[in-house]
Amino acid sequence: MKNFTINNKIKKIFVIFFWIAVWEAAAVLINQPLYLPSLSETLSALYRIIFYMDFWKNVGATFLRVLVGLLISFIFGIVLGIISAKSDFIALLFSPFLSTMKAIPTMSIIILALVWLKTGLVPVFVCFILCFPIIYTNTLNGIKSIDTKLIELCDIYKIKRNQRISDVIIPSVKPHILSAVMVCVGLSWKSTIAAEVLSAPALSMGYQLYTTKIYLDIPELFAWTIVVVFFSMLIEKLIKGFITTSPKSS
Amino acid sequence: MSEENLDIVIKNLNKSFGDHQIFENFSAEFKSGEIVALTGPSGCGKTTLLRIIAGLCTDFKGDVLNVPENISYLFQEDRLLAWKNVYHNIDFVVKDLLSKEQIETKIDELLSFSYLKEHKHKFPHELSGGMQRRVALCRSFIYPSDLLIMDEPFSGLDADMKGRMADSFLSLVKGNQTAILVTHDSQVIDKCNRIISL
Repeated sequence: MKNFTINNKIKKIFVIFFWIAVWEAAAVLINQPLYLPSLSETLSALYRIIFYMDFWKNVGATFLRVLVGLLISFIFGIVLGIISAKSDFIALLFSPFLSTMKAIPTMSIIILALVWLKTGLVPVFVCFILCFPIIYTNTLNGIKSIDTKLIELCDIYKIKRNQRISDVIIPSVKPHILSAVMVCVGLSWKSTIAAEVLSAPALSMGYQLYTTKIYLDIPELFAWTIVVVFFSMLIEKLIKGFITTSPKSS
Repeated sequence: MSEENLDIVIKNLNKSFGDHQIFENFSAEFKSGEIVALTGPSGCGKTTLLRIIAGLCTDFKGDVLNVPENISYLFQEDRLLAWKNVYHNIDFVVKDLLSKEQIETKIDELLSFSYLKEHKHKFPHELSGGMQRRVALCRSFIYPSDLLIMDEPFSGLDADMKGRMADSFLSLVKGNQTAILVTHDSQVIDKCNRIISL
């Protein structure tokens, strides 16, 4: 078992080094940092943005937008999901809106949001529009999929409303909401930063990406991309860790 | 449990599923305090009759009278909560009815004679089918009821365990508590006061 784990670790390290080598070889072959910067150029750009720019302010501002966007999506998604599960009419009322939201290209939403809202709010709005349908649908499906046999069990034993909610309904819906969390964490980062690139709020990771395009600073583009991927993966890992360590039972 | 229970009376029960008539003017009586075994071929309406008595099926014609308010129902399936351990699957039905100490004592008692004491903190997926059945049995017996309805209560247990469980659990049916159970097992039928063949 131990040997197996060590072997797996060695394989993973090999895979990482293999792709770094491919990147480095391609950079040497192309020999044009404008198209593909080398690893060392990217690392020095990364060092520069972390230590010489308002790195944490930019990261913090974007993080805050992601958090607010997700929070609003969760509040609306869960509340409206519960209401729709109770009333087929409400679910029907929302269905065209949701189908439209799922089909509209992200860029159309961003451009529309640029017309409607202040620069700083555009990323939050875009994050909401993309995450809300996922959370709403998962909440609705979660409630609809509650085992009716367990509800019958509650009826027979006259289980009170609060206990039904805490002991049966929430644990039944929880896996659906957690899967929405996992999908939305990655999506919220991508959508918020895409919206920041176009709306360009003064402090944001998206705006930093935008300036790399203006100055054709491709190593910095790579460096910011690494930062975005790093934070997205970090938060995903933290949430996954939180989910797996949360108690199974009351 | 109430001091006095009236006999449960079923009068002229008619029930059909589509064109298939299950009960046609069926009448029966379940005396207070007796253990009655319902037997019959599969599809004859044993589970449907239990559901009608428990009030879970209301789409029928006829009268079902004097059904007590507090019913304990052991369903054909175990219906355990996958996210709760053995202890919490049992205390789930009496959390608001008994004190914490009473619940602990009763659960320990039930778990010891169903040979599950050392599995108290396990989750349903960590138990065998027979163990899960015994947890469901414990849950239905901890609930203070006047009527105990059991649909194939000892299914999934081996012959030896079935005999021991039937002895232990049916000895808990006391006083005015009425028990109606569906079973095909002669070992279990022998321990009942009366048999109704459908």
